Amino acid sequence: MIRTTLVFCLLMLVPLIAPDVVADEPGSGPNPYSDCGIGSALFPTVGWAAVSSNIIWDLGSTAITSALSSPETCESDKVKTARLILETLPGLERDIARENGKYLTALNDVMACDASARPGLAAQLRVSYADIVGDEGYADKAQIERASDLFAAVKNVTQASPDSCNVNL
Amino acid sequence: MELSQYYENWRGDYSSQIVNAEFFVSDEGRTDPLAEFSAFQDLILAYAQSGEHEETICLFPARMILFKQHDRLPLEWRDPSCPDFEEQIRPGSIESVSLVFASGYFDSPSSYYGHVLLKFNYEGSPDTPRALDSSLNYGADITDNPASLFYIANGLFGGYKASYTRNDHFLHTYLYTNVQLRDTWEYELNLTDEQVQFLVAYSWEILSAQFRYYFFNDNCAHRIADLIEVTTGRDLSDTHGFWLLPIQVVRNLRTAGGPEPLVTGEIYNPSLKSVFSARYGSADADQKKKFIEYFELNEQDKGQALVEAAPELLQLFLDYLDLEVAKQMLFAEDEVSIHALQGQRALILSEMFRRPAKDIAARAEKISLPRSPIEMKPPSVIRAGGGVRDGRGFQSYSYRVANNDLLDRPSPGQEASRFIMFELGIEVDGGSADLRKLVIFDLVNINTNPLPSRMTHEGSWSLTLDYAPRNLLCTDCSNFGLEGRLGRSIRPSAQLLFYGFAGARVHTRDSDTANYFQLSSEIGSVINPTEKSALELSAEVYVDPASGDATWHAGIDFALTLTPHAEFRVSYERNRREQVVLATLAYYFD
Repeated sequence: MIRTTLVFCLLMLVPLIAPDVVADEPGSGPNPYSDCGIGSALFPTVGWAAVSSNIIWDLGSTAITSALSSPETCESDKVKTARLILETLPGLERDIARENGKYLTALNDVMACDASARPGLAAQLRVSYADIVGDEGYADKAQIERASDLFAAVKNVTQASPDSCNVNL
Repeated sequence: MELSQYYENWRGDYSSQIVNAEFFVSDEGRTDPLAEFSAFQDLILAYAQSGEHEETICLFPARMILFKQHDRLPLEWRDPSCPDFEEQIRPGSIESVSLVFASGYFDSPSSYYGHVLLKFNYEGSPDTPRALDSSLNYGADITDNPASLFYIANGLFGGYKASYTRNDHFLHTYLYTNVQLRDTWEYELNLTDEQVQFLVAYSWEILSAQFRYYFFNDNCAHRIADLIEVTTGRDLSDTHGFWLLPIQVVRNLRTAGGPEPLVTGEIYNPSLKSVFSARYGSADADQKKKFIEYFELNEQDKGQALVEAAPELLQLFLDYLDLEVAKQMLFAEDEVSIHALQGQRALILSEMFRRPAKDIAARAEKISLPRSPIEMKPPSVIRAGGGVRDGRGFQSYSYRVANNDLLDRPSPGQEASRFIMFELGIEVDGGSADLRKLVIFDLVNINTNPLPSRMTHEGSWSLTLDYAPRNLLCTDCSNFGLEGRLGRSIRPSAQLLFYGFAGARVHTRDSDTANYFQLSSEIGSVINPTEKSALELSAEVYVDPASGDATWHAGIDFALTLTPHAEFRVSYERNRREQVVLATLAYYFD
């Protein structure tokens, strides 16, 4: 449990010490990963013994953590997008490599992207994220760092096509 | 009355199952339905006359619907403005509602009761996953460490409060399938537009209610079924006992009375484990060989192997690694192992990005739908029959609350298992009836893995707490004991299973054993020649380490499903000196 807690704390510190890939811009609202408690929602401090007990006596308490830690702006579509990226990252990475799949569809839905723009966005996102995956340091990054990287890539791609999605990151 | 969950107690007084008094409009609302009705009616009149109490009225959209339906609104009525409800729920965009069944946790027979929740389907086709759908979950509000005994005690006896919560359904499904490794099934309900809107409104209204959680008789199955029952008037809580299991609610969807079926469609969301098992199972021998060889290569050689790997193999590698990461996160939390797996995953992902997208996308296949939970056999069973033991006849009767043994068809998406919760067995010999067995629980987790044993550390296990004999051969040999075993199982084909266990039993003395401890081992095989039949061959040995005495027996059990509710079984056991045969008929029911 101590080790888990330490890992959790380190994960929470990551956005503070990582390159500022999703840094706040004037008027852009809070950084969803560092300011809205999304990391703590994904990495609760629950040990394996606790999980095992819940497996035997499943009391139905598996609702995703919804208590984000802060301002009303954290209920924004930007935060929903950040959360989707973080929580479904492995599936999303695979879909981006294939340029299709339900996780990519979900990302487009949350960002309210125009249907006709989606294939083009997928292709651009693949190119952008391929650079990130190809980077030597990728394998050593924690999930929240990789999510931050992908969030930044999505942001860059959608900003390059400003009319493609209704949600601006 | 139904909306606020009132029930009449034995004194004829009313009380609500909602335990938080602030849910009600009236101070006496929790125990006085009439006071609550009058108080809410007063609010409506006040709102109609002066516009006051709009915020409070907006908390009860389902009550509003009923007042409208029964013409209880004043003439000067105008609909209140409820921005929270309208903006957060967007009821006009909800087209349908589905009941979602989540199977048990990965390889844990004791959780095979599963879980149910509701899903609200927003505009669009229900065949495509929509990130905007929401779900309504019911669960206990846990205040203890789930690893403690308090967690179990409070869960069983109402020590926890419980409530409904709204979730992003897409993320909620991901949590089940990719984090907890549970399959889910969605059953779209056959509701009218008015019923959909009422259910949506009631689901909003009930969010602020708190209940007491009882694992057996006031759980997710009761509460989710209740929402549908209030909306449709159909009975989804049909059970012969005081308990209600999630799988019973699912089965009742098909049988609940009404002019039309209550289910219009089914969607299956496979877990990571099911996805990997299906893809690995459909791979040819050459692909399987390459798959296993890849994970035995050193790091330098893996890079070259990936360049040469077929796209479907890349998918399979990634399936396997995602599954292993999920298992580590779920059970072991070994950060070193997780990091190593992530490193391997990065190699494969990098190779996928290096290739044209069309080469990867073209190989994406659908996972076929396994047998639906709605078609499962009911969990409870009574069994009656007769046998002959060394030339002497006897009768056998038993009752089992739940759920299955190795001869029952497993739950959809699960390996064969034995999961018995409370079983009572009586034997009548001549004029006397004897308690033969009383099983508190009997769990056997077979847990096969299609991969070679060198690639997996998973095994089989069993845990039993019962008062029972060790076999059918002996008489007056039941003892009370706790038995645990570890083992290994392999499944060469869908019709054939081999298993082996070794362990020990701590028990009370009986006529056959002088001590309190025995070592045990068992080997066996389960063969499913047809969909409706199963054959089990087994041999079991018990050794008393203090005296060195050993007892063994071998047995054959054959089960034939006659109807969804009826089964015939015949069992034969023997040892060096004795033999017994027993034939029974079973009736399965909810």
